[in-house]
Amino acid sequence: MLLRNVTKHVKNQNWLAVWLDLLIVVFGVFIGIQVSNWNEQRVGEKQAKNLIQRLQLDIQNDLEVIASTIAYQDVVRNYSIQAIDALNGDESVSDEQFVIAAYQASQINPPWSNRSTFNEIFSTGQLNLLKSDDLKDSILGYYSDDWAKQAITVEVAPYRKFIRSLMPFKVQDAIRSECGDIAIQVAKSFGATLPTRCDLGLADELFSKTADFLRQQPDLLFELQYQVSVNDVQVFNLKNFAKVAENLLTAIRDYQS
Amino acid sequence: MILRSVSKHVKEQNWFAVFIDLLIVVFGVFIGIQVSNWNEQLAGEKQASVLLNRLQADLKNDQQSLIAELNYQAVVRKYAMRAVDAVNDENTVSDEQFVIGAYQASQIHGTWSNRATYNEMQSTGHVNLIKSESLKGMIFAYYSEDFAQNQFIKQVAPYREFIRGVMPIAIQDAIKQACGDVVIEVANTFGSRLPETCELDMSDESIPVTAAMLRSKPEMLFNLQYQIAVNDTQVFNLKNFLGESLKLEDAIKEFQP
Repeated sequence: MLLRNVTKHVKNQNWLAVWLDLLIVVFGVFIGIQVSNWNEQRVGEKQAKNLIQRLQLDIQNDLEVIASTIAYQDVVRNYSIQAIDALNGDESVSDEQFVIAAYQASQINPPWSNRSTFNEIFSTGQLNLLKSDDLKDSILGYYSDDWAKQAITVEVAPYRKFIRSLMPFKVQDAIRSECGDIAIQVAKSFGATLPTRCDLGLADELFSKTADFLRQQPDLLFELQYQVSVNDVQVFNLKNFAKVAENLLTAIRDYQS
Repeated sequence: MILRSVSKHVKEQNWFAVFIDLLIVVFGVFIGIQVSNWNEQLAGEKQASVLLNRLQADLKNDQQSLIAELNYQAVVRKYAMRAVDAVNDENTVSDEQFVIGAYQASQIHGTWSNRATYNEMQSTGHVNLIKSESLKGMIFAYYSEDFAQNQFIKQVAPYREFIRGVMPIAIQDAIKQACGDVVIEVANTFGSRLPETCELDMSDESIPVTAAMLRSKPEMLFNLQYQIAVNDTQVFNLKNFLGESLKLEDAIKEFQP
């Protein structure tokens, strides 16, 4: 009887409708998920736009940092050359200027890079939201080496320790307080400039004594010359990194337009 | 449509039809999700091939960076050998070529690795999209050590500090100006090439004086020889890393014809 019942039901059932219903459900679920995926993709594209804009700001900050470091190094180099001239017997450099220059030649102003957007893009895999392979390559190229952590960029010549250990503390204090770093705003944080000129109100005798003492140090010229070399290598590299940063900015602008 | 037919079937107490309706929904949702999963898997495979393409691009950049360094080191070694010859009074080297060789022997270039895609694959877990275990094994092995951070490759011999401390800044400046690094494009960023020959336009006495001063330094030969040893160890390691990079690139190419 049950069997007959079942056969009757099976016979009476509209199988075309059953298939149609099944198809509708399968298709409905699939489309629902697909629409949600499309939506996600659209959000992703908007996100990519935002990230590119933030990347642009990071690179602009990098350029600001590099420019301020190069400007600082420029002043340091002038002081170094003045000190070398004095050591080599140039009499137009006074004892005071020699001592000041010898100290200022040891000043440093390390740069920093702005990699937060890149790091975010990377750790979340969002780099794939960018559609242009060329732009991706340029971004990867620029960030492959952190210029601010490069051995050449972070190197500090031993001259700094040398002169700051030798020079009487009173003189160092006076130079620092009168002509030390001036804090300036750089890339939403702070950097420094070094005054290009410096005059101190200390007694001449103190300077001539210090200058004589420095002239007697056999290693002073050696240390100073290496200091200039380290400084020059840094500037050369920073200038090149700035060029790469400029190129990346252009590539981003091309991509956006 | 389903809802209407279900309520109609319940009203009519046609339980067989209700059961079929339930089956339709359960089976329909299951198949719908399954199709979406297949779709996702397909996208994953596409994603894997995108990542492998980018990994290949990273490897090509590694190779470019390594080759630029190898080419640079080959030139540095020639200059170093010339300076050694001059110190040993062999193969008649002019004072000018000796001084130039002595300076250029201290040039360094540096290499950098391109690990961005690998890092991304790791942090997002996308490395599991690659189906071949042997390829995964090779990728892990290649990236297990960052060649740019390898201590042999990063080592800078003390010769650099020695010669740049000893040589007068005016001569260093002249060499840098006439025959310093020539910036070239390497791996979407910049690298350098060192000119193989160099002539200076200095007619004054400073060249022979400097050459004589360098010859009189007892540490000159010692420092130079160690510089060459460091350079050679670097080159040996760079070549091995280059070989590994080429091998991995071939394996990826084989995996995705």
